[in-house]
Amino acid sequence: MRELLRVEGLVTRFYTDEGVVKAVDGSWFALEADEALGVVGESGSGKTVTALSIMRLIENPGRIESGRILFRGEDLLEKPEREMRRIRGKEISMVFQDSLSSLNPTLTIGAQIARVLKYHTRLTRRARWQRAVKLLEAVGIPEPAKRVSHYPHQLSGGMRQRALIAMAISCNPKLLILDEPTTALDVTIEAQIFGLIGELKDEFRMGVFLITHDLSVVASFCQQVIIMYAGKIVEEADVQELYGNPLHPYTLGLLRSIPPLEEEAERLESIPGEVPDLINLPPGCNFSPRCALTDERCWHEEPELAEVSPGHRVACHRVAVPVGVGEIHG
Amino acid sequence: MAEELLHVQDLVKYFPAAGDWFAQIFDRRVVRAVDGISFEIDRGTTLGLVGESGSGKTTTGRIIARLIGPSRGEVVFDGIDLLALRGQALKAIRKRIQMIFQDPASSLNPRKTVGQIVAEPLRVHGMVKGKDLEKRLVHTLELAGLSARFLNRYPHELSGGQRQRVGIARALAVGPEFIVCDEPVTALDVSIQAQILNLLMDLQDELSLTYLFIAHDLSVVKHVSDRVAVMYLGKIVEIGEVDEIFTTPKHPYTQALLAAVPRPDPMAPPRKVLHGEVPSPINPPPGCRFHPRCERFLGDICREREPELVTLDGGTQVSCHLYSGGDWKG
Amino acid sequence: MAWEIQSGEYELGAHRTLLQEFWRNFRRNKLSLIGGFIVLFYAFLAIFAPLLAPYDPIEQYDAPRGMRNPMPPLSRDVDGRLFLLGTDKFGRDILSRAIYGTRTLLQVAVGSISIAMLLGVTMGAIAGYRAGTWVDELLMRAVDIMLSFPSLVLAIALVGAFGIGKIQIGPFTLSNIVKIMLVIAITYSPRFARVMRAVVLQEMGKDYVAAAKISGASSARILLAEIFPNTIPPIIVQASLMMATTVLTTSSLSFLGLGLQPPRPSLGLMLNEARDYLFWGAWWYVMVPGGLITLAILGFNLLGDGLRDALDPRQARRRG
Repeated sequence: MRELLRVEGLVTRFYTDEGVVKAVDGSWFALEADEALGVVGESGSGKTVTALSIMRLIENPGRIESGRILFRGEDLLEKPEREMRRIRGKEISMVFQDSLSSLNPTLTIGAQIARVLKYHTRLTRRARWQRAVKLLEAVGIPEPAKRVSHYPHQLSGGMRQRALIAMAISCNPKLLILDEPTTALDVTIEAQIFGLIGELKDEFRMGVFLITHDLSVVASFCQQVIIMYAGKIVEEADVQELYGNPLHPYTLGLLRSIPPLEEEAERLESIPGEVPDLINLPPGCNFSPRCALTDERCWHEEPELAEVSPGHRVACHRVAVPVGVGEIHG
Repeated sequence: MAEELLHVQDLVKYFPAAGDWFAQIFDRRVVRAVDGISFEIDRGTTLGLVGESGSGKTTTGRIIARLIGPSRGEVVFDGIDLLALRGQALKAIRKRIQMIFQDPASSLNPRKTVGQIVAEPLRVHGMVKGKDLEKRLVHTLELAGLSARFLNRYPHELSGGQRQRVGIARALAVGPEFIVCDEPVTALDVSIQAQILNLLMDLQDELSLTYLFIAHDLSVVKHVSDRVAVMYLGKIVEIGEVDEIFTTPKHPYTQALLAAVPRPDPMAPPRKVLHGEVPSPINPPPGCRFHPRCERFLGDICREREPELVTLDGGTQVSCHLYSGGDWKG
Repeated sequence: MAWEIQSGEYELGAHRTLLQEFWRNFRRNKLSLIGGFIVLFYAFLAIFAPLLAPYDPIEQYDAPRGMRNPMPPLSRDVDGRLFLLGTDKFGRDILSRAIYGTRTLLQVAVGSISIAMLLGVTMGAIAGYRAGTWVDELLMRAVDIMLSFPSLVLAIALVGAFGIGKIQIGPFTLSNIVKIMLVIAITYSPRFARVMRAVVLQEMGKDYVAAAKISGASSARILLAEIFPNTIPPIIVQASLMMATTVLTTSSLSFLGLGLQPPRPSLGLMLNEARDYLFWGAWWYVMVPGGLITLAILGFNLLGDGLRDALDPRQARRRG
């Protein structure tokens, strides 16, 4: 497997009148060429800002403060804006949660796909239109030749999301970023969409960066998982390891918060409290006010992400790090 | 023997498909939001109402809460014909039937403090006055897990979970017996969902409340419900004890829905995909409404004849031709 | 067990009243602060006009030998009185007339906007609450008809119908100024009706209204106690922006000779009088009333924009 994306020490902040929002506070991770990476977190965890940072779409008052974003070995943060425009939509493309506001209501679906093709390819007008029909067919939209000249509001939510995916894959991107692509959709439609994305990923050998709040979706779709909390990565592992051996108290809490479908549960073990304000973060570990396992150290010292077993990294003082693997930041 | 608190009989609600009266002159089509459903809820129990968007579950809840009138049908609450009530009699029953809403941001008046919001139902009914009011408010907030410090706060100063607790406190203020919970945890973060679910279940035990719990999330419904009704396009396709429905679902739609739900477990079998989308409730398919998507389609009978609800051995009622006559059993 | 804490409580942020919240948002935008200061300046001129004006605005003074009215700024009359901004063609003090003219202008603008608001808000609230019924239809089509006339044309037509000068309606005599207020109010009330209807309709769709119904609240209580407080911010914004338009309409009517009648000081009328002297180089004669009208319009527009940004509830909920 080849490394597609490597993010090193990414820090993104927003300078608001209320104070400095530490949206992403030092992220390190990597994504293989045909791997699906799930980024799980609640609102304010920094998962969407991470994606927007990769796309270099952070706008005022936000700023990428430091770090490197290596896409196929080249640092995107060093690229001129002109170059980035070529990369966006062609090399890296993104699908957002709200399909209605992501599509231009005054243009037909076909015209919007053709426009992306016009920016990034040398196809003729007619060829672009034919390719748009092909793409709609590829994402499972029935009667694509007819649908191609429909406007977004004439399609159902599921069909719009398919059209957005068609647009995103129109230039065979190497990396597809999905930001809560199915949150607004019913579960049967969600299953259809992920079935489709899975097929496309294998067919086009794309890396997929999936942002979601839903641990179940990640379990069924991704190979690698990152758990984010208040701007920081708290745990990372492959799916088997993360669900089989979750270590961070936050990951454990999230997993226990989901009502089980198969077995009985009298009472859910919920995480007390609320997600902290990103302007006034607690001292020490961000999770300490909600954590049951805290000791003195948790309140003073920020835990570093440390490897506890090969490929499994956790940022927690209370997780025993085997000798020889961790113990780096004593 | 459990005592029946709410009985719904042949409830129907059609909305005009066109917007205003002028458009309705030219467009007499109707949206069949709820199309003849019947169920009952015993005192102290929870009936979970599940279905995808367009199934009519929210409309059903709003009719029972007397927010909208039905086209026809009957709702009997504790022996009282709910839909016939007017004026003072209706106002009196509102003390016994309350509702919790999906979106805590829109269900709280942004210009009012928490104290004013929770006090509103008490004031309308002239139940408590002066010093006792303050005591009652504090007590009600505490029931919902909030302290007296919240009394003077405005909704925008609270987090999503806290707002939903205020919504719960408002519903509890008048001491109701029956609460319609309309997707009460859908808008909340995963870790907050579990808190609110636990709170609702604790309150049910403490105050012997009866719930109609409307949700699209099957695992949430399974967790809180005693009985479950599955809706599809305005009809109940299956209703029964929660364990029966979740361990041995009878209706092909219920089976497909359950198979489509992702599990928080990478080893779980892959999600099964139900093809197609929910048809328009303006023009529902003839015969069984699910037949165009059904994997166990039997032929003409499904296309032509509408199945009746039949009671099976486990007490589950299902409306499907697979079970309606001896010949097709399987 | 700490893990089992079920309270929804954690540290609450600093508490602010809605007014404090508004001020925090408002002062962020420097332009809206400037607008606010301009409006305050006008209010000051209008309220303290008798104290601020150096001379009687109607008194005519004679130019000294060798000079003619209108006299340029910093001139003196035969008796040595100093006119800071010069005099008009009748030898009246432009500064004093401008101050009093501002006062009348604001009186008319505030008066007509208040009446327009009252009429429009009532119509809009009824239409919005009964949306989709014939009442709504009747009111809104009436509004459409009124909005289909350019407002100045409609105002001129109404003045034409009422005539110039005071009018007698039954036992009531309406002075000219009240009549003009009414004319402008009728012209602009449909715009308030539209805004109000839209806001009421939007608020009615929110679940807090459903919650109030379930609480057992009556229709009147829902409209007045629940919905109405939420309509105030957009109406205030609309009023501030409409003030700018009204200032222009009032001045235009005066300019056309259909508004306030001489010798009452009015900025529009002053502009009209100054017209003949424009080519004679009497720049101060046009600049003073013209500048005051322009600045007022700018001030109200800036204030209105600032209010809109500061009162937008999405701003307040940004962090929620």
